[in-house]
Amino acid sequence: MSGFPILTSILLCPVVGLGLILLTPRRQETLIKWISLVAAAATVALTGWLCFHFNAADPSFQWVENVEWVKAYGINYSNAVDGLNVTMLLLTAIVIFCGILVSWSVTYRVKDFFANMLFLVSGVFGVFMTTNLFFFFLFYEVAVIPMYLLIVIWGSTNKQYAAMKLTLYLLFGSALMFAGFLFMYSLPEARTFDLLAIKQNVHFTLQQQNVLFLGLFLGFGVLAACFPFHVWSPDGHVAAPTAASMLHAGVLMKLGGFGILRVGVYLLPDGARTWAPLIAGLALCNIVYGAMVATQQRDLKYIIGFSSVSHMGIVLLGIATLSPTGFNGAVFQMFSHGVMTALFFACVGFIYDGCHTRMLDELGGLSKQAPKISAFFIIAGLCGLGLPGMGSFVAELLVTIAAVSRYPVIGAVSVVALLVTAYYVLTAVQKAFYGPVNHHHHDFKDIGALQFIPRAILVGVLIYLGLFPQVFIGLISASTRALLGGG
Amino acid sequence: MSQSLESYLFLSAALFSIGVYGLLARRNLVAILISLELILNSASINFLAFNKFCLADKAVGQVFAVFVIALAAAEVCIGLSLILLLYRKRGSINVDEAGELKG
Amino acid sequence: MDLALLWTIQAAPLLAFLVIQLLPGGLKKAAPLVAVGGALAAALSSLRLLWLHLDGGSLPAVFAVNWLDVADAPLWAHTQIPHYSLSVGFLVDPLNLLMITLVTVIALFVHVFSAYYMADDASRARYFGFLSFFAFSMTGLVLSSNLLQTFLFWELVGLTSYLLIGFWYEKKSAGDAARKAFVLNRLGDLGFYLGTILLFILFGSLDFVDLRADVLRQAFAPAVLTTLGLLVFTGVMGKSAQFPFHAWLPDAMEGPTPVSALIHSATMVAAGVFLLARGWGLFSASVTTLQVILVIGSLTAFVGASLATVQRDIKKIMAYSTVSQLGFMVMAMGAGAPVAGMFHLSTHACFKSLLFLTAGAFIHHFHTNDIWEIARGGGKKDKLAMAVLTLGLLSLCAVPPFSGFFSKDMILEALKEHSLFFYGVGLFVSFLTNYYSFRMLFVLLFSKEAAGRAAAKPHAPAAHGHDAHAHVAHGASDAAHAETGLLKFCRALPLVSLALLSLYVGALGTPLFHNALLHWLGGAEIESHLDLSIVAVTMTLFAAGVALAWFQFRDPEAAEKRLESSANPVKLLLDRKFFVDDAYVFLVKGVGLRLAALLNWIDKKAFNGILVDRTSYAILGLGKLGSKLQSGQLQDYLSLAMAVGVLILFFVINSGGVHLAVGG
Repeated sequence: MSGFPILTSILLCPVVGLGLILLTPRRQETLIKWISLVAAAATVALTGWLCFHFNAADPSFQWVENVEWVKAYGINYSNAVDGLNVTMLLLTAIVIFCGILVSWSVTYRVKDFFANMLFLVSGVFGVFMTTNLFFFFLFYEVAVIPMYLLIVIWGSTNKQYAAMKLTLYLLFGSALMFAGFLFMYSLPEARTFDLLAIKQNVHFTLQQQNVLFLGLFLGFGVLAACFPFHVWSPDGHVAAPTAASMLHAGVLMKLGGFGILRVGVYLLPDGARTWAPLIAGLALCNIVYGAMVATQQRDLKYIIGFSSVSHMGIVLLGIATLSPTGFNGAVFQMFSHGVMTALFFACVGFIYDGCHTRMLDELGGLSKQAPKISAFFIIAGLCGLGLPGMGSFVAELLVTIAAVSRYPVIGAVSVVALLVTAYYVLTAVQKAFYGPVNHHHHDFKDIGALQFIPRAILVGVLIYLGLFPQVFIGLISASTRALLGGG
Repeated sequence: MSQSLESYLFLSAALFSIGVYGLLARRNLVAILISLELILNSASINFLAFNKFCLADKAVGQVFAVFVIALAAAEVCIGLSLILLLYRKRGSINVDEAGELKG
Repeated sequence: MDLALLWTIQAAPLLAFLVIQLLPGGLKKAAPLVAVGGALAAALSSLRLLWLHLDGGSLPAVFAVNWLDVADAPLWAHTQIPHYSLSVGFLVDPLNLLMITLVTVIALFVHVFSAYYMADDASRARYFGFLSFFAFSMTGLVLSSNLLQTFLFWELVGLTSYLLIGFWYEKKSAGDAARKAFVLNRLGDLGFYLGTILLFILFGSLDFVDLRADVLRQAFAPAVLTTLGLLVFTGVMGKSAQFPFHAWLPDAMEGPTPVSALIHSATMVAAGVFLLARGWGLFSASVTTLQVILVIGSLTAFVGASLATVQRDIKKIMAYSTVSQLGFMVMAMGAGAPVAGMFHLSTHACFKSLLFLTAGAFIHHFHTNDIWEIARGGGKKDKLAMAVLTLGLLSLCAVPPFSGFFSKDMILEALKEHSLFFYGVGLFVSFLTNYYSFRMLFVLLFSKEAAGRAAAKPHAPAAHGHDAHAHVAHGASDAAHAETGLLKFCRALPLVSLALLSLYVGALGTPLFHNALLHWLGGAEIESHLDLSIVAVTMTLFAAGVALAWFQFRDPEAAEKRLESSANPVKLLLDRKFFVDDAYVFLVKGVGLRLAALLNWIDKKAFNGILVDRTSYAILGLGKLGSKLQSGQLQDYLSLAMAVGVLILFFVINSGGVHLAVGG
């Protein structure tokens, strides 16, 4: 540990915010909102600083913090960053900041809502920064529980069903993943949960790698909504309140992809090689199947939910190529999809609040009534269909390059999704935003300045990523290269 | 005063059986609680008897007996308060009427 | 100097777009001014750039910077020119100097004309913002130094095309047309995208300066080259509306007419042809590719021209004419004459944008797209419009000395050298072109003006009208047409300038100017030698086409009645547009969406229904079964527990596991 424990500070921001909110009287809603906003802003500042001062050329872990906790079982409170998770931390901070701003309009049980949000985000930060598998699991569980509450209390549309489904799936995934961790722990050379120690000390046999990787992949795959374990995600996204959807689709789903890279590929490269074709096949299913099913949806949020399934397939396909290019593409896609989908949900949430419906047939002509929010949605949609100049295009480009060079057929077929995506995005745009104004929602008002800010930030990030991708790739490429290099 | 272990065990067995009978047959919760006390006491007698005939150190069994008495007191406290709450809620302390856990 | 000019060309329209977006509500009126300013800066810079490089000395010049590192090792073992990274930059050579000048100059005129055309539209600011953004994307496309950058801007021009076709988005037809254009273009772009990626993986570089036919032929087998070339050509087919992708272009006429002039005739749709010339090394490396290109081009030219003969909508006639002329350009490319193709692109851009703007002038005045309606409204009284329309049509029909003559002549020459069959197709298409051009002209000229009709129903609900925006937007009265001097100027300047250009640009390719344009584009070896036999044939065909049109349409009213009553298989085929649209509808609705519905059903029933819900119900059922043991009776639990306890005790004692140490 060298100097200021910045990672712990990032983790402490939401935790302290949570404590302050719990101490604040229930009636002081504005104060509660401001506390959350300040806590989120602090995480943005700290992660931004971290990205700026992060040594991108060095593939090893930096800003290592290590405190012994249960020595006998090798459970240390240890944090570190490399290119992989420094970007994920930044993503989390951006999304929570925008999510809090978007939630400014929450009126029901304000204190509980923001407390849950901060609790949730503490867990997410923890998962991304820890290098101890036990804490990885622990923080993950911390993130799941508030998600359940957020959906059940503040959600909509069949929320109890969706919340239970989501929670059960996520716990099932984490149970598989924890079983894998315990198996690693049980090996005689290991006897520790420390990621780096396991990497250094343990030499898995090929058979062990195969079994372990499959288990871990299934566990993380559930979190990443890998086909055919994707069914929780559209329902969950639809039912969750706006900010929870943003966090969930934007960040929580990325934990799956991150986990496969950080734990699966890093510790078990040979296992990854064995199963890579399977992952590529499932990823292709995700990409094409998700897009096809999205064309059939009538609820805006379901369209986005299935588009998330489709886009997470690109992450998985990038991972399955087992090449630095593919990994770069996968991480890029995690980031840009996180921002994009947050923007999507931020727009749909606002429209739902104003029009009290999300069904395409009951909307129409929103562009006339509310040009700003419509423009934001259309921008998100364009990013989703892979328009150049936006983040997703670069991610898809990298993944497609890697996929075509490794699995030519799968790579070529995956491109078809670009066409289908264009179809469903534009159909949704046309039905909801074009055409004559639907009189059901004649009193719908466009967003004001406060609600403009978070969405503008997200759009700015997307365009910045699309125009200057090398900035981002430069941050991660040393680390992604080291993943397979045995570094 | 009988000096054989068996006589103590007979007494304790009798107490125990009465307790079990009460436990299973009575429907009044207070009666069930009393039956439970009988069972505990039979256990105490067993402790003392075995201690007297099988162990050199005579204190061990008595420690357990005292421990059981303390435990029984605590248990009665909790049990009675539960019964009281149940009575307040339902106006009856008949166990047959508290069947929420029926599958 | 070059770089500063290039940046001006590229950034001025973007800046205009951003400024228009940021204008506060009260200042939105200034949007046309800002947009015209941006277009003017770009046009002047590109003219200056052209002037600086007229001698062609220091060309080609490349200014590129690294954009994205892709890999640090070859992606494929036998990569030829491994760069591993993608760059963005400007490439300047005669080809894109010509194109950029064309694009920016026509864009400038269209911006000016739009100031007249859109003067009373409420969403003017949005329109000019999009138009500026289009100018930015189009200049970016033209100046790109490599294939991927071209693809980036290729998609962006597609986006602006989408936004502008759907400009009047309250109309369902506009939204539908915009979506159709985008999705059909996307379909073509998939090939372009895959081709680019494959080329990058196999070849290692996408820079146009690296893509030379001799290098490529050494590196790859012919089959690979054909695959690559055809994949990229799919993108060209989408953007340049080649058969069977042409279906989006006529529908794209839903957009405002100046947009059709700029995007859907002069510049964006020509981008495909431009790409053929730009990546000529890649396409010419395989003979098969060129053959396919030739066939597709011929089909397109024929389909476009034949469909143009039956349209009533002035914009649709021109749209199909554009399809047909694009087919002509692609034919030239396929016949191995890229210079002829680019030459025709240049002349076509001038006269077709002129024609569209003229159409716009009519539509703006008469609020209908139907040529019969325009004629009845008194279209021929607009002397300026009629004059430039005639000039444009003569140029389209390749009558000497108008510009179309020189370029089309060159293409026919190349076709004649290549194969007589395609020469025949070219001639037949020329004949059709003459026919439909004069059909339109005759209908406009010879129709009797319906007395009082224009005055009585100036804004009759335009049954065929697409630019019916005037009614939607402001229910205009004739007062709206009390045009100010400035607006009149905005209307006349582009028309006259483009008419002059239509005259002049073609002459650049004649011996009179020492073939200046052609030499410059293609090097010294290219000569335009007027083949008199071709001229004789085309003039005969011209006479025949005019005669046929005269024979059928000297009395437009009678012709209209005849057309409505007639029914024959050819008419059916033309009315149904060769069933291409029906095929797409079948593919999307009958195949694609059905498959999607099936998958959705599987998702609902199999995954959500059986896998998830059934499993959870099964577990719930199991729990129910287990809960039957719970009678809810305290004593039952007790007796059960005791019985189990006794049993355990019994077994433990019986198995001798416990030895009680009794006795002491």
